Amino acid sequence: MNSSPEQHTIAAEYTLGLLSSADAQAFEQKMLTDPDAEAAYIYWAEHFANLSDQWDESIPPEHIKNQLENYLKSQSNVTPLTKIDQKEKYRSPLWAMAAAVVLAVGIWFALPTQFEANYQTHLVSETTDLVIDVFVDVDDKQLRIEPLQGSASLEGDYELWVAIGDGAPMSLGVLDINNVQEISLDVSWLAGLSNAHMAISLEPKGGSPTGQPTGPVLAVADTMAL
Amino acid sequence: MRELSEIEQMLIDIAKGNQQAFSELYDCTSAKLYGVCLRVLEDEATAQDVLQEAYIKIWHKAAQYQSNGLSPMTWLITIARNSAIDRRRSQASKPTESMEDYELESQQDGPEQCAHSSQTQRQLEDCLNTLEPDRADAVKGAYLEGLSYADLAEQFSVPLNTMRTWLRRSLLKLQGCMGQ
Repeated sequence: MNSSPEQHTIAAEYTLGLLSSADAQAFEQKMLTDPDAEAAYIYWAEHFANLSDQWDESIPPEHIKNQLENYLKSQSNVTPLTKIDQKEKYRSPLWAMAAAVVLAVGIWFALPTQFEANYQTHLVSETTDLVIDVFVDVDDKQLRIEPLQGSASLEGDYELWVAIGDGAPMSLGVLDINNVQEISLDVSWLAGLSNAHMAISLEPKGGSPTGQPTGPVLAVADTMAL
Repeated sequence: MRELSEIEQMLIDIAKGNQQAFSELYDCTSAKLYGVCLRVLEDEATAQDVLQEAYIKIWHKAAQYQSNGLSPMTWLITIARNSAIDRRRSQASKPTESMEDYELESQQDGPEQCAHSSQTQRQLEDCLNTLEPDRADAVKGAYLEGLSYADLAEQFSVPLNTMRTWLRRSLLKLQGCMGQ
């Protein structure tokens, strides 16, 4: 490793999360082309990870794993598989049965095969049983909303919102809890999704009358780059 | 916690879409990753939300694990810790200093080379002990709790620039002590 002491310190600060956003991005760019910078990052990440014994282990509640498994099941036909694995699985009778189940619940046809998500937002409501995934394909300007769990509210409609940075929420429409929704988006804010969050609020039937959330916010989550 | 090589195999299987491997990985790593989220976020509901987010990232990014230079547990911890730090900072309305996961693409430095050993662990702890106690605490606070320079300056009641100087000198000393 031939990094200068200054570069080593920057690598350590990056690993700790102490750099400004601009400096962190600059260091990430540098790592792509400079093996010494990358080696310095690995050096610090591995050394600091030796402190991991000082994080007390704590068993998470059961429902976390259940929700993750539900999520995986909903993803099973869009999981990136190698071609060989895919062929093997399609030949297996077990897989055929699983595919039949997926077909029966109507998800298989609902998901376009060409949709390639760049961003995902996993919204889990703490006050209701609502769990929603929102995927965005930036290149094709498509948004896909997958309801994973929950039922329609008797008190109103669920409305989905997106906010870029500290900007005001923009409505993405009223949620259909029973079906996968796809929406074409030709909007400039798609470029800002790396610093965005989405939310679900409970609104009067038909959606917010003001264009801004008026009811209780049921779930909020950051948009994640995939 | 299981042997590192087992975790590595699970990640390879997860990259092929193996949900059973994901379930096993969750069983043997979630207590540690939840511990990371709890320590950084200090709130159970938020920590649970971020834990789910971290495992979704692990599911989607497992294929990238094989080509990065980190050992498997360090890679998993980095995803959980960065997710927790991002949430902590977005809640505090300080959107600077994002820890958006960096995806290593290098083929060099195989994971085995970087696996934790009791020797390197002792080395880090011994070297932290050579620092003044509050400086060592500041380094640990940054790593274990995801504290920013501003948080650390407030906690140790020193100006921001002083904290920056402290930390940078401490990191140089650590590197000198641990060697390359």
